[in-house]
Amino acid sequence: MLKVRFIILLFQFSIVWSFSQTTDTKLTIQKSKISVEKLLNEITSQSGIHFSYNPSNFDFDKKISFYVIEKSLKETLEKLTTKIPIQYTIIDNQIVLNLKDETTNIEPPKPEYYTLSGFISDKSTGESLIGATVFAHGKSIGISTNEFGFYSIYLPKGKHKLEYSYIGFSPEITNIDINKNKKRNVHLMDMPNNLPEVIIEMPTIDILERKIPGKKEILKSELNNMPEFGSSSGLIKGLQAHPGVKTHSDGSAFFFVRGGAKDQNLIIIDDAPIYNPAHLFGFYSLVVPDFTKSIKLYKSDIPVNIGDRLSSVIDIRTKDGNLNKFEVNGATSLILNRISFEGPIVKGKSSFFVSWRLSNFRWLYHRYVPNLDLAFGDLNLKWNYKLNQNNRFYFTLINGHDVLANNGDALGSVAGVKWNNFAMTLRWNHIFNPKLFSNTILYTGNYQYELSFNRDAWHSGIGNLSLKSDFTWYNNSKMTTKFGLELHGYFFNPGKILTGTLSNIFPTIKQDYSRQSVLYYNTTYDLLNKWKFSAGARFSIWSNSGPATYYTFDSNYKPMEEINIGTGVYNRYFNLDPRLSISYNIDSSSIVKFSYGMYHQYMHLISNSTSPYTSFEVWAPSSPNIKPQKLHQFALGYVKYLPKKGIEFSAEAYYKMMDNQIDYKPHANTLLNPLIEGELRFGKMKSYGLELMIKKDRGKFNGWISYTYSRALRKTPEVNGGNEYPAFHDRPHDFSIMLNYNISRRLLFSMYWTGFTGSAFSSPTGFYTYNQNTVPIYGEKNNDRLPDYRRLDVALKLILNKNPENRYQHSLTLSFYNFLAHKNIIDVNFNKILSENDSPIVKADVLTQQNLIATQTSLIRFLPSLTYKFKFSK
Amino acid sequence: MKNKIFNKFIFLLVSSIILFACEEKTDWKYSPMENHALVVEAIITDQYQNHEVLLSLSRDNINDLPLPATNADVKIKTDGEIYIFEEMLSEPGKYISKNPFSAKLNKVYNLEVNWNGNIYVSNSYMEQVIPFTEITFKSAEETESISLNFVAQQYSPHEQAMYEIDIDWSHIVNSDSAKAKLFYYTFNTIDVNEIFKPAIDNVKFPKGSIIIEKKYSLNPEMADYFRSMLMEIEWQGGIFDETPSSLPTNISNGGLGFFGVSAVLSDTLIAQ
Repeated sequence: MLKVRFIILLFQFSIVWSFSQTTDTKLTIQKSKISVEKLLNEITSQSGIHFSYNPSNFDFDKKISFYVIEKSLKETLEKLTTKIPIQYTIIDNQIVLNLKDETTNIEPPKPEYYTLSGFISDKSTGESLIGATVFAHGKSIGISTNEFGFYSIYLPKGKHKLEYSYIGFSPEITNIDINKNKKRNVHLMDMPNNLPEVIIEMPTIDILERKIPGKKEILKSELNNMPEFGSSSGLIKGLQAHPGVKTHSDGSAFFFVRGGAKDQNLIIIDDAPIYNPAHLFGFYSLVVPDFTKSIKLYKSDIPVNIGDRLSSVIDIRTKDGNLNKFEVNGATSLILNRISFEGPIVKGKSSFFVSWRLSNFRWLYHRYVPNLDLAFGDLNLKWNYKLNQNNRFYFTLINGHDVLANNGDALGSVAGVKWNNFAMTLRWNHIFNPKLFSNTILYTGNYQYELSFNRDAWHSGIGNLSLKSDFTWYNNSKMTTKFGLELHGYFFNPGKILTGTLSNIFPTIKQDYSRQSVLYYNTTYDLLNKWKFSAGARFSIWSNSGPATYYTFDSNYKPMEEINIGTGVYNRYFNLDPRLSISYNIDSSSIVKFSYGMYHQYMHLISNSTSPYTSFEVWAPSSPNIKPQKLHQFALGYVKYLPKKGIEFSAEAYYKMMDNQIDYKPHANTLLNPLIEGELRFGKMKSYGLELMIKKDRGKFNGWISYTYSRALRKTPEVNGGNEYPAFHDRPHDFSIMLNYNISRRLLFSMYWTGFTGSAFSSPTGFYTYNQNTVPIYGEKNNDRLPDYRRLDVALKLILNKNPENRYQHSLTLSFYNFLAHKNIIDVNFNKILSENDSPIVKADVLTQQNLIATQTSLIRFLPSLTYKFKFSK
Repeated sequence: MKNKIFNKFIFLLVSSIILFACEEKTDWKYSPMENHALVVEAIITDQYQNHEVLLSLSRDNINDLPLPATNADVKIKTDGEIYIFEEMLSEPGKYISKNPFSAKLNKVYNLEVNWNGNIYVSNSYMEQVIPFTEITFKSAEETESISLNFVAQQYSPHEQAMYEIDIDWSHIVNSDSAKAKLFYYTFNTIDVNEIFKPAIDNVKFPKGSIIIEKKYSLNPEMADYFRSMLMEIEWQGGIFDETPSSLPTNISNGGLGFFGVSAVLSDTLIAQ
């Protein structure tokens, strides 16, 4: 008997022991759609405990979403009771399920919520981290930091395990007891990085936040790894490597996004607009990669708080400067030198960043053209000051200049062209309370262009002075609201003679003044951690103000009346631009998103040139004769990310309908023309396309392959007989490959290959003779195409330090632009003869019997560069 | 003044861009359409003479000779007067007025061409011409020859004109082919591709060459036609090209070319 009792006791003990073992088992289930029956089977399979229930009481086919990560059986069952109306009892090694009785159906008391807020920054430099994430384990609550590293997360009262993470940084996991609103600033350590610009694994929680369709985050490491052009890895060339962005041609700062015109892209640096992002007619970019902290490209679903351009916004945030230690970065080559300094002014509280860059071309041309002065340079400055926990101030200054001048010939005459970009931002970040963050900015952008001859100068420019107050309201863990106000004043100088004798010869072009007031509002709502809805609108009022002179035109574009305006507003446009997006997280690694947006643009670049170079374009405001450009864009995107392999696949389709698109009458006169509006024609443009990309963003071998099919078609009643025609940048096929291979810790090989359909242009369909000149006849506009573009760039980067811990780090980069010396044609002409030395020239003597020939022009067949880069920190 | 500026910038820009750019001959296959439109080439002037109208056909290939449009009825009317043109037997497509006449200010001249059963009409009027500025010459590098240095301002807010320069040095080298014809223009507009136009052939000739200069006044429509023509034939292919396009015309019914009326000044000088 005793033996029997012992056996029973042993049996009971074994049951209890085994049950305690099973209840200790941690369960992980992540299913977006699972039937109740399958879910119970999954729990049994992971815990080893079976369920007992009456099948007629339950709907076991019902599909539910169920997420638990590393939870005990009890926690898992508790979660289950919130999903289906059951109660459970554990009896022996079984879980007995019953229908929940009414007394248990009483709503549990709502948990109390509190806000945890603060800043996330880089521990070594103090730089705030943009887009870093905070994630509460087991709660499926997460948020990312804004442009200033600020976060605000809404959590239920209680203990939480929080994970702070950022790409390239070691995540920090911390426990916190939330029983009131709290502030916590977190400093993340960057991961040891011994590889040249290695791209480090992205924390899984960041994936869907960073890979949203329509928005592309361009990492500095991606830019720096690209083969350089003339010792510089430029922003524009980096952008052009991404699907949907099309370059004009070699050496051009112009680019086209999703079929939009070249003036439909806004580049902002710390909110200030850059009107001409080019140095040296476009060969170099104004944006210095060392100065940038974050680069975001928006191609669709452009946020309501930035905008007024139809096709894209490139939002660049600059480095604040190292708050903890002094650092020097630089690079030198035979054609370009740059250096930057950063460090603390008051350690941990205030810092500065200053960079300076200057070209060094003189040795290239001095022997051939000794009087030529060809140079560019820029100066960037950033200062920031943390007054206290709730108030921070930032100051950014960007100044870039170019000069091309004859410093004096035999007659002592001096002639030149120069242009200058200037942007300045004064920012105040204020935290009203843990839920309300404000960003108030006073900023200006200014672009001036001057052509001079001795004391005479022709001058044009555009500029703005703006005030913006941007607010982010973190409503709760599901909802975030953005709203704000902008006030802008713009001046446009389409070209006037400043000084000297020419002021009496050239026509007077009046300056334009415009104002813009903007109100915007947007709410993002997260439903069940699966759906994200975003809806908002941007309401703008554009006002032309005097003093001004404008003309009215008849139906044949002949001027009818000159209207002189005194002071005050004489024309207004009101527009409300709605934005809507819906995204759905299919699972933890893939997302699909649909967006619709309406956009208006009030500033227009007037140029009928097909040249890749920035020349004498002038900006003109919307006015009585120029209606704002308008766009409807629909976009559908899908992103799948495989974290283990670091592979991302994305596909995006878009359709754009644009109104009031500026076209030109044949041979339009756009320079120094007071009646310039009579030279313009207005039509529609539509564009559509599919962008595909596969990207491997980590490992020794990384890079991406992209392909875009797209069309951009114009239709203007007075152009091409009112028939639709392809835009210059209509290039149906565009293919790119970017590959990096880390040969060793100190050696990186990178290559970039791109190929796309040639641009559309008009070639003659016949000829006739007039005054003994051969005159071309054209048929359909843009009836022909330039040859397809192809280019291979390669680079080899060698880190010279054997010890990666050295304070002085230096490297050598050898780059080859257009390595295969492919002739990429920028234009074809039919008006030249061959000179005595076989170079094409225009025929002057109409009696000459020499045959006319077709000629083609190509740029930059092959350009090697060697750059030495260094970095020193104290 | 403006010429000097243009030259400076052409020099500067070409100097810098040439570091990268390369232009070469290509065998471009453009797609000709059926080109047999009537081309009218006619400028009547205030000079008392037999005026001429050239009629030809447009063509497919760039270096083909223009085919003449023959057997047309051509006449010009103004204020009840009608001037009949007759085709020259020796030069098909060239029509000469039966009687000499001179164009007058403040009159509208109507051209009417009946060719191949189709009627083509056009009208134009004359503007005054302002006296010449003096032509200057410069020495051609490393030769005894000279070339034209300055003919006219490219820009003037007050007038628009065309300059036809005939240079003849056949009497010096004893060759009938030692002749050249150059055209220069003054417009009241300024264009980017004009400032940065491509290199043009430098026509050299010996001292003692006979220069006959004719200055034609251009009314706004004529100036627009010739400015557009220069955009296609002389200013195209530089650094800042404009979008190419067919030239405007004042010939009706699908005709091409231009009918204009100009006041003309003429001068003859010996190149020194």
